[in-house]
Amino acid sequence: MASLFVPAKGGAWDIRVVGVFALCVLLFALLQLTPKQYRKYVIQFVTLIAGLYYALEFFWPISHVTGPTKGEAEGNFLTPSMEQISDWLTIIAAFTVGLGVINLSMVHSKRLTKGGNTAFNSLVFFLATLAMVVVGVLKKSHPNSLTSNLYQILFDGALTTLDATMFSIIAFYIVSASYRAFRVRSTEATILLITAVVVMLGQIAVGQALTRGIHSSTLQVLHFEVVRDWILTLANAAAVRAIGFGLGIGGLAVALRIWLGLERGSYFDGQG
Amino acid sequence: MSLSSYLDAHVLHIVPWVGAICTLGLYSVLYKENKIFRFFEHLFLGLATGYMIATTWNDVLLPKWWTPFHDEGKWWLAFALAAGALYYLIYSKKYNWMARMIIGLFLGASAGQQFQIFVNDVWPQIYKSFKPLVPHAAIAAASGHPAIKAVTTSDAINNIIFMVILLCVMSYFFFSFEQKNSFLKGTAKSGRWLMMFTFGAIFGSTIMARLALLIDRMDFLLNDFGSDAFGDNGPKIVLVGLLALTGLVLYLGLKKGGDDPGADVV
Repeated sequence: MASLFVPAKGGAWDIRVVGVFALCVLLFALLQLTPKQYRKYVIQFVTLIAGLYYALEFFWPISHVTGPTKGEAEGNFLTPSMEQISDWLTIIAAFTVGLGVINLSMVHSKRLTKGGNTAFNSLVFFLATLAMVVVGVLKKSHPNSLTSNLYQILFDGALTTLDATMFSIIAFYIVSASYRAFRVRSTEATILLITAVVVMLGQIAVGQALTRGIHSSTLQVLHFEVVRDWILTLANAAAVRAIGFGLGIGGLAVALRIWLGLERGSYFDGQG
Repeated sequence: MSLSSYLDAHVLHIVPWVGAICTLGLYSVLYKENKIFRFFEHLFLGLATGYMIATTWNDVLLPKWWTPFHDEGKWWLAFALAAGALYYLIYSKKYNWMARMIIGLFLGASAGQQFQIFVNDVWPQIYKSFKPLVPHAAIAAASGHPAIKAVTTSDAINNIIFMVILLCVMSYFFFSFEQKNSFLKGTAKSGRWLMMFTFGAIFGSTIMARLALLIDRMDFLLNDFGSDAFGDNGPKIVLVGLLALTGLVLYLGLKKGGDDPGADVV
């Protein structure tokens, strides 16, 4: 089996690649013959096998094994292939980048062909995407001062700035959100806002100056920065940990349902 | 003068100018929705999309797939392309069930990894949650047992508070059965209140993070851009300009009738 997967060059490479694609087309054609009512079982089988690999790798007893890249390590017979499988999954997942691009392109090409007020903005979107792709890829493949300078203008000058500005705009709207939360007047909203105010006051010099007048060593625990630290390291940490336990157990339950094909819904029950 | 040599000479001036124009362009939405904001919004979207494509190619597909596949002759990596292509069958009515197959592969892999994630992330936290609740003096190391730090009264009180919060919040997450027991109802209700401390702390930290970004943008406009564009007096000139702009926006907002200028964007 190992002798089959030997790197090839020139014509031999071309033949093998064409062979792989032909094999895949044949396999997909055969899969398409699966009756509609059984297709969900094919999907469940693929899901089960993919999960089984990681589950077995985790639960199988460990011993000393020799991996392809890291040499001697602790693991079981599945451990040496972990890195390769992770690489394969990363590569396959990377191909999904096109899905988002296709989606955006469909929306903006429709606007562009329709004309009107939004057409110009869609053109800007396409030009900006193209410019960043070309400059970003050329910077890596043909590094020179031109690509480096253009990348600096597009990335440092425009993208980073636009990103930071877009998120800083939220600072203005958060004030409006706080006001709306205050209007609810429930115990929960009051606790939330008092904690938020104390945390913020404990973090800024003005807030710390407000309680600097408290000199008594017993009452120094009332300094905003001390209260803030206590909230973040104790009250907050305990609640976050409990939420984490809930999330962890919930995640595990959902993972088991997905892995064993018990989950229901449009994705799992669809027959294609 | 070629483009390359022009950029070599001026790139350090172009970058702050581009940054300032982009910053002010996006901030124009604080007055109201307008064409300038829409232009910079689409520019941001386009650049971010392009950056994502370029990064995926440069950091993942080029080193992990194209170079071994094409340059090193590892022809079997063509299978990865075929598997990745399955995702695109989602656009076909006839074959889209095959796209669900590759999505299933990733769901299954993620589900399998959950065991490891749970044990690595959650178990150590469960272990560390068992804190000493009774004050005691330091205990010296004995054969086979490490030394144990002293627990002061205040440590013990903090640990008790920690345990109470932990148990109350956890009791809120008991969804497996109906909470009819009055004690459980009480702890679950306290758990909800205690969670508000966390959400308040997160909310406060988020506000501070956003304000830090806003301060950073102002710092950029006043110092980086101001000094580059107008020399030593640049920060003062930009400050006057920004104040004038803010005044103009406030004047126009008040003239309009006191409507929330940004309400249509939230």
